[in-house]
Amino acid sequence: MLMFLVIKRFRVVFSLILLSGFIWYFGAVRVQVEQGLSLLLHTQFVPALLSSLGASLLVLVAILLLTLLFGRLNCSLLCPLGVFQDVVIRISNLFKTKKQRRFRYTKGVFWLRYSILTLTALLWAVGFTWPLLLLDPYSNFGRMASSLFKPVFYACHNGLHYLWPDTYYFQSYSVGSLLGWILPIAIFVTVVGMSAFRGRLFCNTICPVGSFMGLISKYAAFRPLIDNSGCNRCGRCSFVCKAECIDSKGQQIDHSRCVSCFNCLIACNEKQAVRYVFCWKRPATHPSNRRHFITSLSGLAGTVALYRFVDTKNHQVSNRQTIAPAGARSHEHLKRFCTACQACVAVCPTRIIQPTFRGYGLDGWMLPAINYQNGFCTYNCNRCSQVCPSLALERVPLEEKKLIRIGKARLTLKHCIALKDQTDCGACDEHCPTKAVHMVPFGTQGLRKPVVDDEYCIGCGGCEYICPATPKAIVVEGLPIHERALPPVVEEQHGIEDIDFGF
Amino acid sequence: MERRNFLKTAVAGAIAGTIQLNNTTLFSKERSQEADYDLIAVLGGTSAEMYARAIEAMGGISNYVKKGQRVVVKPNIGWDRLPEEAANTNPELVAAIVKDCLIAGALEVIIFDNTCDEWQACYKNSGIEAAAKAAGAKIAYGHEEKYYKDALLPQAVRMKKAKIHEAIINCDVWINVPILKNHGGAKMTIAMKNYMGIVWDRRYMHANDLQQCIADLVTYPKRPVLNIVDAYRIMTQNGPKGKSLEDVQMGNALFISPDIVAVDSAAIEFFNQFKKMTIQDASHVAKGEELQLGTTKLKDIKIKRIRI
Repeated sequence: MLMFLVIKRFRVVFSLILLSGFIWYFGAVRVQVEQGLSLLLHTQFVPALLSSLGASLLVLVAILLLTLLFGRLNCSLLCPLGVFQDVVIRISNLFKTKKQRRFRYTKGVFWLRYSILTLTALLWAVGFTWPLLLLDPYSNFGRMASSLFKPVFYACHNGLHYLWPDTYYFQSYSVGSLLGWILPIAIFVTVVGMSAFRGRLFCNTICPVGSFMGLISKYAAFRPLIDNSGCNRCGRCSFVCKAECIDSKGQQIDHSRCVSCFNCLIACNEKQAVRYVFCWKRPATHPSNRRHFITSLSGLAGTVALYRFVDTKNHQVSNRQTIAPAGARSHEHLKRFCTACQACVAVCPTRIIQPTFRGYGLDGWMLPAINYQNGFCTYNCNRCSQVCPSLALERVPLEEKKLIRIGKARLTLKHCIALKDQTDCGACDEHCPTKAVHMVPFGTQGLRKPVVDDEYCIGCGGCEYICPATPKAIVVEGLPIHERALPPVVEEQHGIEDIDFGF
Repeated sequence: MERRNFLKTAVAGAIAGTIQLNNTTLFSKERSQEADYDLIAVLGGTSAEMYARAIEAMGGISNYVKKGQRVVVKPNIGWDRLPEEAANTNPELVAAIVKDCLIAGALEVIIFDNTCDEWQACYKNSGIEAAAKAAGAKIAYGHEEKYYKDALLPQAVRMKKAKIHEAIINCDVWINVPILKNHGGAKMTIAMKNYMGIVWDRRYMHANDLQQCIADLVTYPKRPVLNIVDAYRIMTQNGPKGKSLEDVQMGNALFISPDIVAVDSAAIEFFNQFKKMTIQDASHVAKGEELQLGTTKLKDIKIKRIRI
C-alpha cells in the first residue's frame, strides 16, 4: 500500500518536472539553449522512431522495454501532452462536484483507435509523414507550447524588464503567420476539452502512439490486476481511472488503455484488491486481444518493410523558394522525418526559423522554414541542428554547417542603391560572412557595386536581411537539395615593415 | 515685491543665466588650454599602455569626464567575432577607458552597441561585455527599437532626424571608441562610422547616400568628448566583418582626439601604409569637414606623436 503511494507520488513529481522542462524549453525567452534541456526531447517515441532509421535505436528500444515491463508508463511519465492532460484534469476537478469528478468505465472505440494507427503508419510508410506529424503527441505539445505558451513567457519576461530594466532586456514578440496558429489552437481545444470531461480519451482514441503502446502494454510484465476474492465491486478504482478502462463490475481492466497512472492502486484502500503485480505470461485479461495484437503488429512490420522499398528520392519539389535550415539535407528529407515539433524554432537565436504554411506544399504545413525578413542565419551557430530529436535536421558540426548551402543569393542590380542612386551602400557586402558577396568598382566616381560568387554563398541571408532597397536588390532562393559551398578563400597579406604614423 | 527689487532680481538672474550658458564654452576653452595638443598618436605597445600615454598627453581623463557624470563609452561591438579577429574594438582598451572614467569619479559608465550580428553573441564573443563589466561598467541593451528615441539633426544635409539610443541621449558625456577597419560600403570605418551603432535604422542610411548620412549623424549636438581609435589590430581587407585571421594586421597604434574628422583623417593616413586609401575615398570624412565637424588638414593642428 505504502509502496503504491510512493510510486504514484514519484510518477507525479517526475512527470511534472519533465513537463516543466518541456514548457521551459519551448516557451522561454532566451538565446542560449541549455544543452541538458534539449536532451529532454530525446525521450519521445515518435522522434526516436524516426531517428532510429538513421541513428541509434537506443531510445526506441528503451521506451519499448519500459512499456513491456511496466505498461504505458511512457504516457503518464514521459509524454508531455499526456502529463499536460493530467494537469488539465486536476484543474477541471476544481470546478466539479465530487460526483462529477468520477470517471466511468467505457468500452473504448477500438475500431477508431486501430484505424487511425494503421492509417498513420501506412501513410508514413509510403512516404507521407504529415498524418504522423498531425497526431504525434510530443509534436503537438511542442507546437502548442511554442504558439500558445510562448507569448505568456514573453509577457512575463517583459514584465520583469519593466521592473528591472538593467537585468532583463526587452524582447518584442511577433505573432508570425496566423496560419501557424490553426493547428496548435485546434489541438489545444481538442485536448483540453476531451481531458476535462473524459480523462485520457484523446490518448486512447486518437493518439497513434497510445494505440501502439496499448498493443504492448497488454502483455506488460507488471500490470494492475483486480483480485476477485478481495474485491467487493465498490467501483472506487473505476471512479479514478482517467483512462476509463476499469470495469469494476466485471472485475476486468483493459490494459491496452491503461496508462499506468497508479491511481486505482491508491483508491482501493480498504482491501487492496487492485494490485500492481508481476504477471508475465499471464494472458491479457480483456477481450479483443491476441488477434488485434497480431494483426496490428504485422501491419507495423509491413509498414516498415514497405517503407524500405518505397523510393521517396525523386519526388517533385513543390516550391523552390523555401529555405530549409542547415542539416535538413533536402526538402524531401525534411518532409520525411520532420514532425514539426518546433524544437528548432525554439532555439533559433535570431528567430528566423518559423513554421511555414505552404512552403513545402500542403503536406508540409507547419514544417520549419527560414524567413529572412527580421534576421539572418548566424554564421557561428548550428543550434537548430543540434536539438532535432527526429534527426530531420542532422547533427552537423559547426565547421561543417558553415559550408552547407541552404540557398543562393540572387542579385538584381537594377534595384541596387549603388546603381539606382549612385551612392555608396555595401550593406550586403558588410554582412556576408564568406565574402561570396563583395564589392567591385564601377563608374568614375569611385563607387562600388556588389557581385556574388555563387560557389562561396551559403544562403545565410545576411545580404537579403540588410538590403535597404525596395524591392530588395538581393534575395536568397532556397535550394530543394542542400549543397556544399567552397570554403572561403584565405587571402594572404604581406605585413609591412617599419610601420610609421603615416602623416 | 517692489518694482525696483523685481528688476534687480531679474537682471541678476539674467546675468547669472548668461554666465551659466557661457560656462560650457568658457569651460571648453579652458580645456583646450590645458591640453597642449589636438591629436595624440601612439605607436607600439599594448592597447592599455598606448591609452595611458595618450590620455596623459591630453591632460588626463579628468579633463573630459567630471565627477558625478554619467558616461557612455561606445565601442564597436558589431560582429560575432573574437578579439583577435579585429572586427570589434579591443576589449582591453575598453576596460582601460572604463576604469579611468571611474577613477575620475564618473557616476556610471555604460557600454552598448546596436550590433549587426545577433547581439548576445556579439557582446559575449567580442570579449567586451566581460571586460567592461569586470572594469565596473554597466551594459546597456541595444537590440530593440524601444531603446531608441527620436532626435533632431538640425545641421544635417539629408538625414534630418534619427532614432538615437537612450544611453547617449541621457548621458552627460560620451566617448567614442571605434576600431580601425576597411569597409566595403563606406570604404573605411573609424570614428564617424562608429556612430552608426547609436542609431536604430541603419538601413535608412544605406539607402539615402550612406556617406552623407554618416556625416549628418555626426552633427547630433551631443558630440563625444573624445574619439579614441583602436588600431592595435586592424582589419585591412574584407571589412567590416572579415572572414579570417588573414584579414587582420598588427597596427600597434592608437589615435585620440576630440576632433572626430581629424582623428579619422589621421587613422586613414596610417591605414594607407597597409592598404591604399585616401581621405577623399572615404568621403564621409570630407563631408564631415564641410559640415564643420572638424578638419582633415592635419598640418593645421597640433599633433603629438609618441613611440613606445
